[in-house]
Formats: sequence, structure tokens, C-alpha cells
Amino acid sequence: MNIIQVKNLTISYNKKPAIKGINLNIEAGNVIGIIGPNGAGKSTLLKGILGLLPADTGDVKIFGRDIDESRKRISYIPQREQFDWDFPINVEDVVMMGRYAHLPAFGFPKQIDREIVNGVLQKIEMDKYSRRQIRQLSGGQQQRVFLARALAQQSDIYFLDEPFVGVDAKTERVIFKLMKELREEGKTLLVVHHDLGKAQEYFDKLVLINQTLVAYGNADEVFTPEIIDRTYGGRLTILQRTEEIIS
Amino acid sequence: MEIINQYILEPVQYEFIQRALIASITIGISCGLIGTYIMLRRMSLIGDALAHAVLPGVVISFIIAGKSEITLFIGAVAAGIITVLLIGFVNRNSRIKEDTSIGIIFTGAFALGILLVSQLKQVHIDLSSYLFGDVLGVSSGDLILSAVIMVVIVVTILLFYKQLLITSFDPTMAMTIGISTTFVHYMLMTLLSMSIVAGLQSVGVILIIAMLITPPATAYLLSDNLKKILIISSAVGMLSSVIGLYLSYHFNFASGASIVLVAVVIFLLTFLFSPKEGVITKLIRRMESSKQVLADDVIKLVYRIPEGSSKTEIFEKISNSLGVSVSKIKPALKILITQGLISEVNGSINITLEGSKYALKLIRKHRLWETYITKEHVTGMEHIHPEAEKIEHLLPEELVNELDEELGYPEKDPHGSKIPRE
Repeated sequence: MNIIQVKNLTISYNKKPAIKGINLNIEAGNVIGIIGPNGAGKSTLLKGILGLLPADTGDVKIFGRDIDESRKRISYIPQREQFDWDFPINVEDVVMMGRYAHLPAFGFPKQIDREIVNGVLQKIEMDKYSRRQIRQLSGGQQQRVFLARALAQQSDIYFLDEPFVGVDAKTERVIFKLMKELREEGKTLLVVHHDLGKAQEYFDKLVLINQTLVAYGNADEVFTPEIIDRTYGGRLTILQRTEEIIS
Repeated sequence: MEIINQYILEPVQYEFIQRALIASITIGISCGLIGTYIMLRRMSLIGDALAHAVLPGVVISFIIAGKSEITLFIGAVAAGIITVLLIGFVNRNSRIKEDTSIGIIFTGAFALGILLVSQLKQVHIDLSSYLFGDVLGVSSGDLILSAVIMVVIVVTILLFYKQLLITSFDPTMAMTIGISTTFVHYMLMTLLSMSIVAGLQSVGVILIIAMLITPPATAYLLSDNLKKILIISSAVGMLSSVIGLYLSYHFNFASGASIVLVAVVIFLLTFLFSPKEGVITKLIRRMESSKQVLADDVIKLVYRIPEGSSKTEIFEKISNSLGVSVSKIKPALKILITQGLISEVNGSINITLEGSKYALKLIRKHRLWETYITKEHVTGMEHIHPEAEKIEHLLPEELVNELDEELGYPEKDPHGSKIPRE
């Protein structure tokens, strides 16, 4: 079953299209990398699927329904730069936000919510820091806190925007392990990623975009020099070409 | 007692002082609470704009219904909301950025208010009391209004605590879980307009922004917990309003200016002396820690000097190897004596058992750190000693143990010296 259906999605900023006519059908239970060069519209695609940006054309269905009817089943981990790290909030409170999706409008967190929060904090090895203000964490720890928040949401689809940027080796291991565990549980992960180096290792499937969709398929099938060349507009092969000229 | 009676209790027998006191307290709380969110959402500019922009609303309601608290309230809040909508409209439909559109709209609205007042000479409206506030002239109607406003603000913040928190900290996530950031924004703008209406009476249009920003900023320097900030902020708002009011009564100061200046003085004191972040506090802490560093260096040397050496011998050795004068070593020794790490008996200096343990800990930190940075190739061999000299004073015990574990409990440091362990 296709849990995400994107039909002819076009989104523009100030009349300049960032993504054009994207068609995508995503089935459950995969870790999917979205890769492409800077400005290719990777984050735009993610936000477009989440209904955070107004679309010029196109239609997105999640679990066959409108996004607004599926909000309890999705979670989103934004890029780290966008936060005010001086905000008066500690680790535990950030993770508790993951439970907000399930609380009634005027309800407060209950014992069960606190247990879930403690559980995920232990899972990502951050329980020691639950009372820390978020500025007093390393970059990797900060990233893990936002992962924990998504986990506390207990959703079925996870959207991650550049989770590996500026993190330490330990956090990278934790994130990778977590991605595999979630997939084992039948969850689906969409991960924006800019580094080609580990793309095949991290992801089952790849979405390659550069404003338009270049390819979508199993990582080992679409991660070919020809497709990457098309995605990155030939920039990768300059080195090869200069080598040819020199020889 | 006499003084308290004369300056603090005596004025309270007057009814207008009682009214002013209650008004000050409610306004301090309202502004302190709403201001916290205005500060966190970086909206102080729009707060100032709204304060000015309510003026035409106040004047128009005055023309229509005369001096009535209810219509004044409705007029001011309506003017506030219209201003916010206009700013958003200009912002969305042109290339003009938000700060510029705020500037255009609020000055325009304020000018309109002044123009209306100047055309209404026959209707007596006291412009200066709106501009500068007059808390000593608060009527009982005003009082009820500001009390109601406070209750509405407190209840709304309690009910929407979650929504306010998540839209302030992470609006994108708020949207992904279906919380309307637009709704929360306009709700907050309505509450802001209401707190401005209340604050008009005490500090007036021009200075109200101070009551919205200064108490939260003070609280922010004292805590990094939102709930505590909300409480401290309203307490500071209340305190400055009350102190300002007394100063205004006793010295005949303009009430608004006096309240705002008290708030600023409280802010400055916090800025200088707050336990965590105060500028002076940090300076003192740095001085203390540099004294401790010297004391640490001294005890490491005393540990190595044979027991029973005379005081002058010890001073000379320490002075030579650390390159500091004897006059600086004496206070360092004093610190160590009060900490029970060394003892002075009949003019000879001896290290205590505690002192030996302490010195060993320092040596352990030093040598483990040298081992660590050599292993990680952080720096060349010639730099590892000075690096470790610095870090040994700073490493907390638990981190040292972690370091030891990670290194696999090495026997010796890179120089071949034994690493002490308990």
C-alpha cells in the first residue's frame, strides 16, 4: 500500500518554482533518502508533503487521506539551525512536545506521557540530561533530543531534515541504529540528506531530485553514476573530465 | 517602624492610593506575563507599535460614548487588532519587510490619534494622561477593567500553555501536529492589546513597552525555566509598579517614568549581580578560580617537597618553579590551610592526608589528559604539558573517571610517569 502519494506537486517561493511536478508513491516500511544538490528543493519537498508550504499545483495524500487528518501519525524533525537554543526549555520539556499531538486541546501531560518520555530518553541515552537547558548540550546531543521528541510522538511516518549535519560519531551511530529499528517496526522514514558518501549504506530507497524528480527506487538500483550525474547536473564529473584532458 | 509607618502605611489610608496600588499590581502581573511571550517570540517592536496604535481607538471610542471603560476597552483592542492585520497585509503583499511595515502602520495610527485629539477641543480629553499615564488618578472603573484583564490573561495562559509554548519554540512542529500558529498569534495580539489598555493608566502609551519587556528580560537572566520566568517576571512587574508608585507619591515624580525607572534599575542590578550570569558575579568567580588555580599549583609542589622543610625553603622553591612572587604564594597557602589540605606547625609546613589525596587527584587529571590528547593527536608532544596544566583545574571528577575508562586504565602517561589511582 502506498502510504504517501504525491501527485504533480509544484511549490514556488516568490514565483520561482523550487520543485516542479513531482510525482511520488511511497510504500510503508522503508528508510528513504532524499538527495540532490544544494537548492534542489529537498527540504521543500519534505515540507510540501507535510502541508507546511502552499502548493501551486498538486495533491498529497497520506494514508489515503488529507494531511490534516493524518497529523497524529506523522512526525517531523526540522534542521537544527532553526532553533533558538537560548529558549528557556529543558530536554524533558522538548521531548514532551512529542506528546502534544495526542493530548486534548486543554489537556496536560499525564503519568503515561511522562513514562513514554522517560522511555525514549533512555533509549537515546539522554536520560542523564533530562533537566538540562538545551544550550548546554553538544550538537549531537541536541540532535538526539529532537529524535527523542519524534519517537515520543509514536507516529508511523518520520520526516527528518538533515539529521546527520554537525553531529559526532556516537550520535551518527545512534541515529543510524534507530532508523533501522524503526524500519523493523514497520515505520517509514523520509530523510533529507546532502552527503552522497553514505547514501547507499543508510537508505533502502533513494529519491533523487533537482527541482524535478530524477529517479526513485531501490538504493542499489538508482545510485548509479549516470543518475547521480543527471541529478547533480554533471558537477561530479568535472574531476573525471579534467583527468581525461590531462591524460 | 516609625519610617515604615510614615512612608509606606500612611499613604494607604487614602482611597486613591489604594486604587493606584491595586491597579499597579494587576498591571504589573498582566504585562509581566504577556511580555514574557513577547520577548521570547522577539516581538518587542510590535509590542511598542501596538501601544501607540491603540490611541485612535481610544479617541474614537471617547467621541462615540464619552468616558466609558467598556467602550474604551473595545476601541483600544479593535485598534490593536486592525493594526496587526494591516501590518501583516502590507508585509505579505509587498516586498516590504516586517519591521518597516510595523514602523509605517504604527506611526500612521498614532498620528491619526493625535490629529483626532487636536480636532476635539470641545470634548475634553486629557492626551497627556494617555501618553504618560497617571496611576494616581485611576478611577474605580479603570480598576475593575484592569482586574478583569489580568484574570483573562492568567486564565488564557493557563489554558493555552501548551500551544503558546510550542508555537513560540517550534512553530513548524506546531503546524505539523495541527496547532494553528495563526490562531495563537492573534490570540496573543489580543491579549497584548488588552494588557496595553491596562498599562495605559499606569505608564501610558510611550513607556508601556518597558513594562512588557524589562521585567521578562530581568527574569530571563535569573532562570532558564519558562514557568519560573513567568512568575519572576510578574513579580518584578508588580514590584517596580508599587515602588514606582510610592516614589511618585512621595517625591511628586511623573508616575509612569518613576515606575519604568524602577524596573530598569532592577534589571541593571540583575544584569550585574545575577547568580548565574551577572557581569560582576562572573568577574568575581573568575578571580576566585584564578586564586584556586594558584593554590592547586602550590599544593602539587608542596606534595613533592620533602617533609619537614622550613617555610623559607618552601617559599623559595615554589616561587622559583611557578615564577610568582612570595607575596602571592602566602594567600594561596592560606586558602590551602583553611581547606585543611596543608597544616602549619611551629613554622614548618606539612601536607595533610587530605592534601596528599587532593594533590594526587590533580596529578592524575594532568597525566590522564596528557595521555588522552596524545592518543587523539590533538596537539604535538611539546604542547601536551601546558595543555594539561590548564585542564587539570577544570576537569570534573566524573569526566576524569570516564576518560580513564575510555583510555583503558593506562599505567603510565606519555612521559613515562605513573598515573595515580585510588
